[in-house]
Amino acid sequence: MTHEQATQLVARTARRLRLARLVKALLLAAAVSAVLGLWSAALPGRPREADSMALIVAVVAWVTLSAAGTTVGRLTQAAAGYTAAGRPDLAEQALIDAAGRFTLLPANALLAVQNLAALAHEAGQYAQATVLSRFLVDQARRSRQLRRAFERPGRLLLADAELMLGRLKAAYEQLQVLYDRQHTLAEKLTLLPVASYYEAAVGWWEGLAEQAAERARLAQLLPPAQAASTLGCLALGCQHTGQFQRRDWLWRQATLLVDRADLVERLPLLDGLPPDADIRLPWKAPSSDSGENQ
Amino acid sequence: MTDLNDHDDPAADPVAAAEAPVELTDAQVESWILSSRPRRGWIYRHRRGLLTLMMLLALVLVLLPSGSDMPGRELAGLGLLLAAMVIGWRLTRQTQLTLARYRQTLAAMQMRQWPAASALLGRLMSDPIDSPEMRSVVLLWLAELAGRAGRHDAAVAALDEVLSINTVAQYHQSAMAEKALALLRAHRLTDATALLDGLRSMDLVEPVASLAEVGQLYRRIQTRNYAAVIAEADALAARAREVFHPQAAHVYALIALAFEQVGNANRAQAYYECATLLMSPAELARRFSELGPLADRLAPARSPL
Repeated sequence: MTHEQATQLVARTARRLRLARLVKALLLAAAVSAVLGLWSAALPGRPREADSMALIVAVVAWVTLSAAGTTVGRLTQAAAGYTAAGRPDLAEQALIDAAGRFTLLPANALLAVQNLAALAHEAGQYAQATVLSRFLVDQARRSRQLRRAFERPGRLLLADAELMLGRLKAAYEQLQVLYDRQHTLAEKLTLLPVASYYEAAVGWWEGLAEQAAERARLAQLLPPAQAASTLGCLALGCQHTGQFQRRDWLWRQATLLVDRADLVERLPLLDGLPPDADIRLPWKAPSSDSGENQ
Repeated sequence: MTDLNDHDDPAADPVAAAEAPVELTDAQVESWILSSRPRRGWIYRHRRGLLTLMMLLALVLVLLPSGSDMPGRELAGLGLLLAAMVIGWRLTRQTQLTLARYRQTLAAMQMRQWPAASALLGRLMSDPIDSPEMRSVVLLWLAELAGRAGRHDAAVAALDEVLSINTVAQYHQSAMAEKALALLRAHRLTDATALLDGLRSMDLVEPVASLAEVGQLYRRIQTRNYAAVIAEADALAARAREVFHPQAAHVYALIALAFEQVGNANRAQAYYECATLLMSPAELARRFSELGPLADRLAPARSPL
């Protein structure tokens, strides 16, 4: 997905969501008016058939449009399955299809956009991820239900994408909101690599070193790329505070998970860690180091 | 509704939960497989058409001319309409609920919060799952949890259920590779060998191709064919690192076992250190029981943190 496609998709989805809010309001008004008309005995000459028809049309429209929301949910389910099967291309297509459909339920459309943002982020398309997740955060502010489901994940994704684009101030604006809140385990884990990299980027070494033990334990629960980048940032903190044994332990774990070159490409700050602290992979050891039969 | 957040006890250690055993019985596994099967009734399969028919009928009843000799037709029409609304709402709600439960279970599985994952999976599988892709993933999770609980035959049953679903080929391939491992853990060597030989002749994609190689590795360990393990150790270890990341710890440990058995202590120690940098000896042994005694013969990596 290109940046332009992401921008067009959010504009289209925003228009559809506005239209959905208008349609819901109109249908509700029509249904309430029809029900009041049917029950009202004080309106002589008012044809009951008109009220019945209005109610039926309102309900049929609501049910039909809600059924479209079920289709959006099914496409999102299918996308989840494609992602699990290692087919992000099919997942992206299903999610673009889902986000492009009209639905009365904003949560369905936003879920598709959230998953698209996550896919873009995973693929390293950070500009697209910022567009999609900024849209998510803006839409999530509209109701308590949407805020609970989408605001935090949206802000986290946005913060990380902004960090990857080198926009520290924009990243901090999102992190600041998240720091001030209670977190579930899932939220704490998702925040961990983003916060660690931000703290490394601004040079908060003492804080990183102080929290190294706890954060390294939690990092075990992260996906490998995020675990490795967290461990790398913690290793940097230990290096800058003179704790070299801890640095070596953390960096060996990190480079066992992901190659140094890939880590540094994603997080250039990690190039500050010495190459001789990298893990020595057994299958790359020199042949004279076979060490048979002590 | 059971929620991963319900298990967010501030005093609980999520890292300990990632190494916690799972309590699951064969009967539970069988029950979850059955209750999660998609609905097959004629009415459910044609629900959308029937809903449309109900609404059209309601329309007709209301539109009938006033002189028509059908008492209560308007009420009947409105009643039908109300019923269509309720049914439509319930169907939508069910889809949303299933998706929400799936996401929660996925989060728990990804974070390896096994007790929570088991509880959430039970809730998810207590209702029919119509999407073949989603059901395949869910059954693979069930097999993994059954394996952690030591219920290897139940794991095989869950994987056989995946193989019976008409779905994407990758799920079938994953199920076959996992089934081979489950059969080996259940000491059904002949069945496992037949399956692994069958996988060899298939065009497999990653990570299934590597998983099948892990199956071969484990079979060679069980048949004490250590020379064959060592011959392919380096290539498999490099591949496992790319494909399995932290779960490659199991591969490193199995290779360490092979080197240790042939007396190559240095290489054994190097591989074992890699394994225990990523996973504790206890967790390694939970997945492959042959690794249990290795902790007494080799030194695991020790954290200075």
